[in-house]
Amino acid sequence: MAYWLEILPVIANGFKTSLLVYFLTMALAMPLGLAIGLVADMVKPARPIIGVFTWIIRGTPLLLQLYVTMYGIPMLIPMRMDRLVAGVATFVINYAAYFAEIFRSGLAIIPKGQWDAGQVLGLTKTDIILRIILPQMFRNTLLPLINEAITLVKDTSLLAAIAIGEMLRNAKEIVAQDLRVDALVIAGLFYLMFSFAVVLVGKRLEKTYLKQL
Amino acid sequence: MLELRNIRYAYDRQLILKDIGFDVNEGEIIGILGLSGSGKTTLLKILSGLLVPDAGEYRIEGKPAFGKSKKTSVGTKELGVVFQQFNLFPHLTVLDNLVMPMKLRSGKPKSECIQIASRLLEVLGLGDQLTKFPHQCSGGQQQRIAIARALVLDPKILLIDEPTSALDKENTKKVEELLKDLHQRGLTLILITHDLPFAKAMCQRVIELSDGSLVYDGSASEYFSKN
Repeated sequence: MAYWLEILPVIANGFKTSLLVYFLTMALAMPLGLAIGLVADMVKPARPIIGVFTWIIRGTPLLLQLYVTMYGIPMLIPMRMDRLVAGVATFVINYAAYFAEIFRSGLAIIPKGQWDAGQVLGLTKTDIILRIILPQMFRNTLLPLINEAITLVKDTSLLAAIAIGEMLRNAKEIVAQDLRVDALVIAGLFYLMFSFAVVLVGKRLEKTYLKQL
Repeated sequence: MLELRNIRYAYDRQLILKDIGFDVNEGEIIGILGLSGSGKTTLLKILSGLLVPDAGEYRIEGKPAFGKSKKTSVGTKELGVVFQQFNLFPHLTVLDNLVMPMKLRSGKPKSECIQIASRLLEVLGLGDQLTKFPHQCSGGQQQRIAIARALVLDPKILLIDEPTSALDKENTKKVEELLKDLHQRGLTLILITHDLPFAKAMCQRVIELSDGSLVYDGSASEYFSKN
Protein backbone atom coordinates (compact mmCIF):
# COMPACT_ATOMS: atom_id res chain seq x y z
CA MET A 1 0.00 0.00 0.00
CA ALA A 2 2.81 2.36 0.93
CA TYR A 3 4.45 1.61 -2.42
CA TRP A 4 1.22 2.39 -4.23
CA LEU A 5 0.89 5.72 -2.41
CA GLU A 6 4.47 6.47 -3.34
CA ILE A 7 4.03 5.92 -7.09
CA LEU A 8 0.48 7.26 -7.33
CA PRO A 9 1.42 10.97 -7.75
CA VAL A 10 3.71 10.15 -10.69
CA ILE A 11 0.97 8.18 -12.43
CA ALA A 12 -1.64 10.82 -11.57
CA ASN A 13 0.62 13.43 -13.08
CA GLY A 14 0.73 11.41 -16.30
CA PHE A 15 -3.03 11.04 -16.08
CA LYS A 16 -3.35 14.84 -16.10
CA THR A 17 -1.51 14.94 -19.42
CA SER A 18 -3.74 12.17 -20.79
CA LEU A 19 -6.81 14.14 -19.69
CA LEU A 20 -5.50 17.35 -21.25
CA VAL A 21 -4.88 15.63 -24.59
CA TYR A 22 -8.27 13.88 -24.36
CA PHE A 23 -10.29 17.04 -23.81
CA LEU A 24 -8.31 19.13 -26.30
CA THR A 25 -8.81 16.41 -28.92
CA MET A 26 -12.54 16.16 -28.27
CA ALA A 27 -13.01 19.93 -28.18
CA LEU A 28 -11.12 20.54 -31.43
CA ALA A 29 -11.75 17.35 -33.44
CA MET A 30 -15.56 17.48 -33.02
CA PRO A 31 -16.09 20.89 -34.67
CA LEU A 32 -13.42 20.17 -37.28
CA GLY A 33 -15.02 16.79 -38.05
CA LEU A 34 -18.44 18.44 -38.19
CA ALA A 35 -17.20 21.08 -40.62
CA ILE A 36 -15.59 18.42 -42.83
CA GLY A 37 -18.72 16.23 -42.63
CA LEU A 38 -21.01 19.14 -43.56
CA VAL A 39 -18.80 20.20 -46.47
CA ALA A 40 -18.63 16.59 -47.70
CA ASP A 41 -22.42 16.38 -47.55
CA MET A 42 -23.23 19.71 -49.13
CA VAL A 43 -20.36 20.64 -51.46
CA LYS A 44 -20.08 17.97 -54.13
CA PRO A 45 -16.77 19.15 -55.66
CA ALA A 46 -15.08 18.90 -52.24
CA ARG A 47 -15.97 15.23 -51.82
CA PRO A 48 -12.95 13.68 -53.67
CA ILE A 49 -10.49 15.80 -51.66
CA ILE A 50 -12.18 14.91 -48.39
CA GLY A 51 -12.34 11.28 -49.54
CA VAL A 52 -8.56 11.18 -50.02
CA PHE A 53 -8.00 12.88 -46.65
CA THR A 54 -10.17 10.41 -44.73
CA TRP A 55 -8.71 7.48 -46.70
CA ILE A 56 -5.15 8.42 -45.72
CA ILE A 57 -5.99 9.18 -42.09
CA ARG A 58 -8.19 6.16 -41.51
CA GLY A 59 -5.99 3.88 -43.58
CA THR A 60 -2.75 4.45 -41.67
CA PRO A 61 -2.01 3.75 -37.99
CA LEU A 62 -2.32 6.60 -35.55
CA LEU A 63 1.13 5.66 -34.28
CA LEU A 64 2.63 6.23 -37.74
CA GLN A 65 0.86 9.59 -37.96
CA LEU A 66 2.36 10.58 -34.61
CA TYR A 67 5.86 9.72 -35.91
CA VAL A 68 5.25 11.67 -39.11
CA THR A 69 4.12 14.78 -37.21
CA MET A 70 6.84 14.57 -34.57
CA TYR A 71 9.83 13.50 -36.66
CA GLY A 72 8.84 13.62 -40.36
CA ILE A 73 7.54 17.18 -40.65
CA PRO A 74 10.58 18.79 -38.91
CA MET A 75 12.78 17.00 -41.46
CA LEU A 76 10.91 18.61 -44.35
CA ILE A 77 10.37 22.01 -42.75
CA PRO A 78 13.16 22.77 -40.30
CA MET A 79 11.38 23.63 -37.06
CA ARG A 80 11.33 22.71 -33.43
CA MET A 81 8.22 20.63 -32.82
CA ASP A 82 6.76 20.73 -29.34
CA ARG A 83 5.88 17.17 -28.38
CA LEU A 84 2.51 17.97 -26.83
CA VAL A 85 1.49 20.21 -29.73
CA ALA A 86 2.51 17.50 -32.20
CA GLY A 87 0.58 14.89 -30.22
CA VAL A 88 -2.59 16.96 -29.90
CA ALA A 89 -2.48 18.08 -33.55
CA THR A 90 -2.15 14.47 -34.74
CA PHE A 91 -4.97 13.30 -32.51
CA VAL A 92 -7.22 16.18 -33.63
CA ILE A 93 -6.64 15.48 -37.34
CA ASN A 94 -7.02 11.71 -36.87
CA TYR A 95 -10.21 11.95 -34.83
CA ALA A 96 -11.64 14.72 -37.05
CA ALA A 97 -11.41 12.29 -39.99
CA TYR A 98 -13.35 9.63 -38.07
CA PHE A 99 -15.88 12.15 -36.75
CA ALA A 100 -16.34 13.57 -40.27
CA GLU A 101 -17.28 10.13 -41.59
CA ILE A 102 -19.64 9.53 -38.66
CA PHE A 103 -21.31 12.92 -39.14
CA ARG A 104 -21.53 12.38 -42.90
CA SER A 105 -23.33 9.08 -42.36
CA GLY A 106 -25.62 10.77 -39.82
CA LEU A 107 -26.48 13.46 -42.35
CA ALA A 108 -27.01 10.99 -45.19
CA ILE A 109 -29.87 9.22 -43.43
CA ILE A 110 -31.88 12.39 -42.75
CA PRO A 111 -34.76 12.32 -45.26
CA LYS A 112 -34.78 15.12 -47.82
CA GLY A 113 -38.33 15.84 -46.67
CA GLN A 114 -36.87 17.49 -43.56
CA TRP A 115 -35.17 20.10 -45.74
CA ASP A 116 -38.37 20.52 -47.76
CA ALA A 117 -40.42 21.02 -44.59
CA GLY A 118 -38.02 23.69 -43.34
CA GLN A 119 -38.03 25.39 -46.71
CA VAL A 120 -41.82 25.56 -47.10
CA LEU A 121 -42.03 26.95 -43.58
CA GLY A 122 -39.84 29.78 -44.85
CA LEU A 123 -36.85 29.02 -42.63
CA THR A 124 -33.43 30.23 -43.73
CA LYS A 125 -30.76 27.72 -44.73
CA THR A 126 -28.89 28.46 -41.50
CA ASP A 127 -32.02 27.85 -39.42
CA ILE A 128 -32.73 24.60 -41.27
CA ILE A 129 -29.18 23.39 -40.58
CA LEU A 130 -29.09 24.52 -36.94
CA ARG A 131 -32.65 23.68 -35.87
CA ILE A 132 -33.58 20.70 -38.01
CA ILE A 133 -30.58 18.97 -39.56
CA LEU A 134 -27.86 19.14 -36.89
CA PRO A 135 -30.03 18.01 -33.95
CA GLN A 136 -31.14 14.98 -35.96
CA MET A 137 -27.59 14.32 -37.11
CA PHE A 138 -26.32 14.33 -33.50
CA ARG A 139 -29.11 11.99 -32.51
CA ASN A 140 -28.25 9.67 -35.42
CA THR A 141 -24.55 9.66 -34.57
CA LEU A 142 -24.59 9.66 -30.79
CA LEU A 143 -23.78 5.98 -30.34
CA PRO A 144 -20.76 5.86 -32.71
CA LEU A 145 -19.55 9.16 -31.22
CA ILE A 146 -19.62 7.65 -27.74
CA ASN A 147 -17.66 4.69 -29.10
CA GLU A 148 -15.00 7.01 -30.49
CA ALA A 149 -14.89 8.90 -27.20
CA ILE A 150 -14.15 5.62 -25.39
CA THR A 151 -11.52 4.61 -27.96
CA LEU A 152 -9.77 7.96 -27.48
CA VAL A 153 -9.32 7.22 -23.75
CA LYS A 154 -7.11 4.26 -24.68
CA ASP A 155 -5.49 5.92 -27.70
CA THR A 156 -3.97 8.63 -25.49
CA SER A 157 -1.48 5.95 -24.38
CA LEU A 158 0.09 6.13 -27.87
CA LEU A 159 1.55 9.50 -26.89
CA ALA A 160 4.19 7.52 -25.00
CA ALA A 161 5.70 6.70 -28.42
CA ILE A 162 6.77 10.32 -28.93
CA ALA A 163 8.04 10.58 -25.36
CA ILE A 164 5.18 12.57 -23.89
CA GLY A 165 4.89 11.98 -20.15
CA GLU A 166 1.37 10.64 -20.19
CA MET A 167 0.10 8.00 -17.80
CA LEU A 168 1.32 4.80 -19.49
CA ARG A 169 4.79 6.17 -20.16
CA ASN A 170 5.14 7.21 -16.51
CA ALA A 171 3.92 3.79 -15.38
CA LYS A 172 6.39 2.02 -17.70
CA GLU A 173 9.26 4.10 -16.33
CA ILE A 174 8.31 3.13 -12.78
CA VAL A 175 8.13 -0.57 -13.77
CA ALA A 176 11.58 -0.37 -15.43
CA GLN A 177 13.03 1.36 -12.41
CA ASP A 178 11.46 -0.72 -9.59
CA LEU A 179 10.97 -4.03 -11.46
CA ARG A 180 7.41 -4.25 -10.14
CA VAL A 181 4.22 -4.26 -12.23
CA ASP A 182 2.07 -2.37 -9.69
CA ALA A 183 2.33 0.85 -11.71
CA LEU A 184 0.80 -0.85 -14.75
CA VAL A 185 -2.07 -2.13 -12.57
CA ILE A 186 -2.71 1.39 -11.26
CA ALA A 187 -2.55 2.82 -14.79
CA GLY A 188 -5.02 0.14 -15.90
CA LEU A 189 -7.39 1.12 -13.08
CA PHE A 190 -7.14 4.78 -14.12
CA TYR A 191 -8.00 3.89 -17.73
CA LEU A 192 -10.95 1.81 -16.52
CA MET A 193 -12.24 4.63 -14.32
CA PHE A 194 -11.80 7.16 -17.08
CA SER A 195 -13.57 5.06 -19.70
CA PHE A 196 -16.30 4.24 -17.15
CA ALA A 197 -16.88 7.97 -16.65
CA VAL A 198 -17.11 8.44 -20.43
CA VAL A 199 -19.60 5.54 -20.61
CA LEU A 200 -21.70 7.17 -17.87
CA VAL A 201 -21.75 10.49 -19.71
CA GLY A 202 -22.64 8.60 -22.88
CA LYS A 203 -25.53 6.81 -21.16
CA ARG A 204 -26.82 10.11 -19.87
CA LEU A 205 -26.65 11.66 -23.34
CA GLU A 206 -28.41 8.60 -24.77
CA LYS A 207 -31.17 8.94 -22.20
CA THR A 208 -31.62 12.63 -22.95
CA TYR A 209 -31.33 12.66 -26.73
CA LEU A 210 -32.54 9.24 -27.81
CA LYS A 211 -35.82 9.38 -25.93
CA GLN A 212 -37.50 10.59 -29.12
CA LEU A 213 -36.78 7.25 -30.76
CA MET B 1 -54.30 34.32 -55.53
CA LEU B 2 -52.03 32.06 -57.57
CA GLU B 3 -51.36 32.42 -61.27
CA LEU B 4 -49.48 29.84 -63.29
CA ARG B 5 -48.71 30.41 -66.96
CA ASN B 6 -47.01 27.98 -69.34
CA ILE B 7 -45.15 26.19 -66.56
CA ARG B 8 -42.65 23.76 -67.99
CA TYR B 9 -40.34 21.47 -66.10
CA ALA B 10 -37.95 18.83 -67.39
CA TYR B 11 -35.85 16.27 -65.55
CA ASP B 12 -33.21 14.16 -67.25
CA ARG B 13 -34.28 15.63 -70.61
CA GLN B 14 -37.78 14.31 -70.06
CA LEU B 15 -40.58 16.83 -69.96
CA ILE B 16 -42.47 16.29 -66.69
CA LEU B 17 -44.77 19.31 -66.94
CA LYS B 18 -45.87 20.67 -70.31
CA ASP B 19 -47.10 24.27 -70.41
CA ILE B 20 -49.32 24.07 -67.35
CA GLY B 21 -51.44 27.12 -66.67
CA PHE B 22 -54.26 27.87 -64.26
CA ASP B 23 -55.36 30.34 -61.61
CA VAL B 24 -56.31 29.67 -58.02
CA ASN B 25 -59.00 32.00 -56.71
CA GLU B 26 -59.82 32.86 -53.13
CA GLY B 27 -62.12 30.44 -51.33
CA GLU B 28 -61.80 27.58 -53.79
CA ILE B 29 -61.30 23.93 -53.02
CA ILE B 30 -59.31 22.55 -55.93
CA GLY B 31 -58.45 18.93 -56.45
CA ILE B 32 -55.42 18.22 -58.58
CA LEU B 33 -55.97 14.72 -59.88
CA GLY B 34 -54.01 12.35 -62.03
CA LEU B 35 -52.40 8.95 -62.13
CA SER B 36 -48.97 8.24 -60.69
CA GLY B 37 -46.33 9.81 -62.93
CA SER B 38 -48.73 12.41 -64.28
CA GLY B 39 -46.70 15.26 -62.78
CA LYS B 40 -48.76 15.96 -59.64
CA THR B 41 -45.80 15.82 -57.25
CA THR B 42 -43.66 18.03 -59.48
CA LEU B 43 -46.50 20.52 -59.67
CA LEU B 44 -46.80 20.46 -55.86
CA LYS B 45 -43.09 21.18 -55.56
CA ILE B 46 -43.36 24.10 -57.94
CA LEU B 47 -46.47 25.47 -56.21
CA SER B 48 -44.77 25.22 -52.82
CA GLY B 49 -41.55 26.81 -54.07
CA LEU B 50 -39.36 23.73 -53.73
CA LEU B 51 -38.71 23.52 -57.47
CA VAL B 52 -38.13 26.32 -59.92
CA PRO B 53 -39.77 25.69 -63.31
CA ASP B 54 -37.60 25.75 -66.44
CA ALA B 55 -40.05 28.06 -68.15
CA GLY B 56 -43.29 29.88 -67.45
CA GLU B 57 -44.56 32.30 -64.89
CA TYR B 58 -45.77 31.70 -61.35
CA ARG B 59 -47.22 34.56 -59.33
CA ILE B 60 -48.51 34.61 -55.78
CA GLU B 61 -50.83 37.51 -55.01
CA GLY B 62 -49.56 39.20 -58.16
CA LYS B 63 -45.89 38.95 -57.21
CA PRO B 64 -43.37 36.64 -58.93
CA ALA B 65 -42.93 33.55 -56.79
CA PHE B 66 -39.22 33.18 -57.46
CA GLY B 67 -36.43 35.65 -56.93
CA LYS B 68 -34.39 37.01 -59.82
CA SER B 69 -31.77 34.32 -59.30
CA LYS B 70 -34.51 31.75 -60.03
CA LYS B 71 -32.80 29.58 -57.49
CA THR B 72 -34.45 30.26 -54.21
CA SER B 73 -37.82 29.16 -52.99
CA VAL B 74 -40.40 31.73 -52.04
CA GLY B 75 -40.97 30.50 -48.50
CA THR B 76 -44.16 32.44 -48.67
CA LYS B 77 -46.49 33.09 -45.78
CA GLU B 78 -49.46 32.84 -48.14
CA LEU B 79 -49.01 29.12 -48.68
CA GLY B 80 -49.07 26.35 -46.09
CA VAL B 81 -47.91 22.93 -47.26
CA VAL B 82 -48.75 19.50 -45.86
CA PHE B 83 -46.63 16.70 -47.30
CA GLN B 84 -47.79 13.18 -48.01
CA GLN B 85 -45.20 11.83 -45.54
CA PHE B 86 -45.98 14.77 -43.18
CA ASN B 87 -42.24 15.49 -42.71
CA LEU B 88 -42.69 16.35 -39.05
CA PHE B 89 -39.51 17.08 -37.14
CA PRO B 90 -38.88 13.85 -35.20
CA HIS B 91 -36.53 15.43 -32.63
CA LEU B 92 -39.11 17.99 -31.51
CA THR B 93 -42.26 17.51 -29.50
CA VAL B 94 -45.61 18.05 -31.18
CA LEU B 95 -45.81 21.53 -29.64
CA ASP B 96 -42.26 22.44 -30.66
CA ASN B 97 -42.95 21.33 -34.23
CA LEU B 98 -45.21 24.38 -34.36
CA VAL B 99 -43.43 26.74 -31.97
CA MET B 100 -39.98 26.53 -33.58
CA PRO B 101 -40.96 27.69 -37.10
CA MET B 102 -43.50 30.14 -35.70
CA LYS B 103 -40.96 31.83 -33.46
CA LEU B 104 -38.36 32.01 -36.22
CA ARG B 105 -40.79 33.33 -38.83
CA SER B 106 -42.95 35.68 -36.78
CA GLY B 107 -40.38 36.89 -34.28
CA LYS B 108 -43.06 36.72 -31.58
CA PRO B 109 -41.94 35.90 -28.01
CA LYS B 110 -41.76 32.18 -27.30
CA SER B 111 -44.49 32.33 -24.65
CA GLU B 112 -46.91 33.85 -27.16
CA CYS B 113 -45.96 31.23 -29.78
CA ILE B 114 -46.58 28.45 -27.24
CA GLN B 115 -49.97 29.92 -26.41
CA ILE B 116 -51.07 30.22 -30.05
CA ALA B 117 -49.70 26.78 -31.02
CA SER B 118 -51.31 25.06 -28.00
CA ARG B 119 -54.65 26.63 -28.80
CA LEU B 120 -54.44 25.55 -32.44
CA LEU B 121 -53.50 21.99 -31.50
CA GLU B 122 -56.38 21.88 -29.06
CA VAL B 123 -58.82 23.03 -31.74
CA LEU B 124 -57.54 20.17 -33.92
CA GLY B 125 -58.14 17.68 -31.11
CA LEU B 126 -54.48 17.30 -30.23
CA GLY B 127 -54.52 19.01 -26.84
CA ASP B 128 -53.32 15.86 -25.08
CA GLN B 129 -50.42 15.27 -27.49
CA LEU B 130 -48.39 18.45 -26.93
CA THR B 131 -45.43 16.88 -25.13
CA LYS B 132 -45.32 13.72 -27.21
CA PHE B 133 -42.92 13.17 -30.08
CA PRO B 134 -44.39 12.66 -33.58
CA HIS B 135 -43.61 8.94 -33.71
CA GLN B 136 -45.68 8.45 -30.56
CA CYS B 137 -48.78 9.69 -32.39
CA SER B 138 -51.02 7.77 -34.80
CA GLY B 139 -51.02 8.40 -38.58
CA GLY B 140 -54.20 10.47 -38.34
CA GLN B 141 -52.79 12.52 -35.48
CA GLN B 142 -49.53 13.08 -37.36
CA GLN B 143 -51.45 14.42 -40.30
CA ARG B 144 -53.36 16.84 -38.08
CA ILE B 145 -50.07 17.95 -36.53
CA ALA B 146 -48.73 18.58 -40.05
CA ILE B 147 -51.88 20.57 -40.86
CA ALA B 148 -51.50 22.52 -37.60
CA ARG B 149 -47.85 23.26 -38.40
CA ALA B 150 -48.85 24.58 -41.82
CA LEU B 151 -51.63 26.68 -40.27
CA VAL B 152 -49.55 28.18 -37.51
CA LEU B 153 -48.04 30.70 -39.91
CA ASP B 154 -51.55 31.80 -40.82
CA PRO B 155 -51.49 31.01 -44.57
CA LYS B 156 -54.30 31.91 -46.97
CA ILE B 157 -53.89 28.76 -49.02
CA LEU B 158 -53.36 25.23 -47.77
CA LEU B 159 -51.69 22.83 -50.18
CA ILE B 160 -52.05 19.19 -49.16
CA ASP B 161 -50.38 16.26 -50.87
CA GLU B 162 -52.36 13.01 -50.82
CA PRO B 163 -54.36 13.88 -47.69
CA THR B 164 -55.88 10.43 -47.37
CA SER B 165 -53.14 8.07 -48.52
CA ALA B 166 -52.01 7.14 -45.01
CA LEU B 167 -55.45 7.10 -43.43
CA ASP B 168 -58.18 4.57 -42.81
CA LYS B 169 -61.86 5.30 -43.56
CA GLU B 170 -62.59 6.79 -40.16
CA ASN B 171 -59.62 9.15 -40.25
CA THR B 172 -60.35 10.08 -43.86
CA LYS B 173 -63.80 11.20 -42.72
CA LYS B 174 -62.23 13.24 -39.90
CA VAL B 175 -59.79 14.93 -42.27
CA GLU B 176 -62.65 15.67 -44.64
CA GLU B 177 -64.57 17.38 -41.84
CA LEU B 178 -61.51 19.26 -40.66
CA LEU B 179 -60.69 20.56 -44.14
CA LYS B 180 -64.28 21.61 -44.74
CA ASP B 181 -64.20 23.47 -41.45
CA LEU B 182 -60.93 25.20 -42.40
CA HIS B 183 -62.46 26.14 -45.75
CA GLN B 184 -65.45 27.65 -44.02
CA ARG B 185 -63.07 29.74 -41.96
CA GLY B 186 -61.80 31.26 -45.21
CA LEU B 187 -58.92 29.03 -46.24
CA THR B 188 -58.38 28.19 -49.90
CA LEU B 189 -57.54 24.51 -50.35
CA ILE B 190 -55.51 22.74 -53.00
CA LEU B 191 -55.67 18.98 -52.61
CA ILE B 192 -53.36 16.78 -54.62
CA THR B 193 -54.91 13.35 -54.61
CA HIS B 194 -55.67 10.23 -56.53
CA ASP B 195 -58.48 9.34 -54.12
CA LEU B 196 -61.50 10.04 -56.33
CA PRO B 197 -64.27 9.51 -53.71
CA PHE B 198 -62.44 11.92 -51.39
CA ALA B 199 -61.98 14.46 -54.20
CA LYS B 200 -65.65 14.11 -55.11
CA ALA B 201 -66.71 14.78 -51.53
CA MET B 202 -64.38 17.75 -51.11
CA CYS B 203 -63.64 19.64 -54.30
CA GLN B 204 -65.49 22.37 -56.14
CA ARG B 205 -63.04 22.41 -58.99
CA VAL B 206 -60.85 19.74 -60.55
CA ILE B 207 -57.58 20.05 -62.42
CA GLU B 208 -56.52 16.81 -64.04
CA LEU B 209 -53.02 16.09 -65.20
CA SER B 210 -52.11 13.34 -67.60
CA ASP B 211 -48.56 12.66 -68.73
CA GLY B 212 -47.50 16.16 -67.67
CA SER B 213 -50.29 17.97 -69.49
CA LEU B 214 -53.35 19.67 -68.09
CA VAL B 215 -56.27 17.75 -69.58
CA TYR B 216 -59.15 19.11 -67.50
CA ASP B 217 -59.80 22.29 -65.57
CA GLY B 218 -63.39 22.85 -64.57
CA SER B 219 -66.18 22.15 -62.15
CA ALA B 220 -65.90 19.07 -60.02
CA SER B 221 -69.54 18.05 -60.48
CA GLU B 222 -69.12 18.06 -64.27
CA TYR B 223 -65.87 16.11 -63.99
CA PHE B 224 -67.32 13.43 -61.76
CA SER B 225 -70.51 13.11 -63.80
CA LYS B 226 -68.29 12.28 -66.80
CA ASN B 227 -65.86 10.03 -64.90
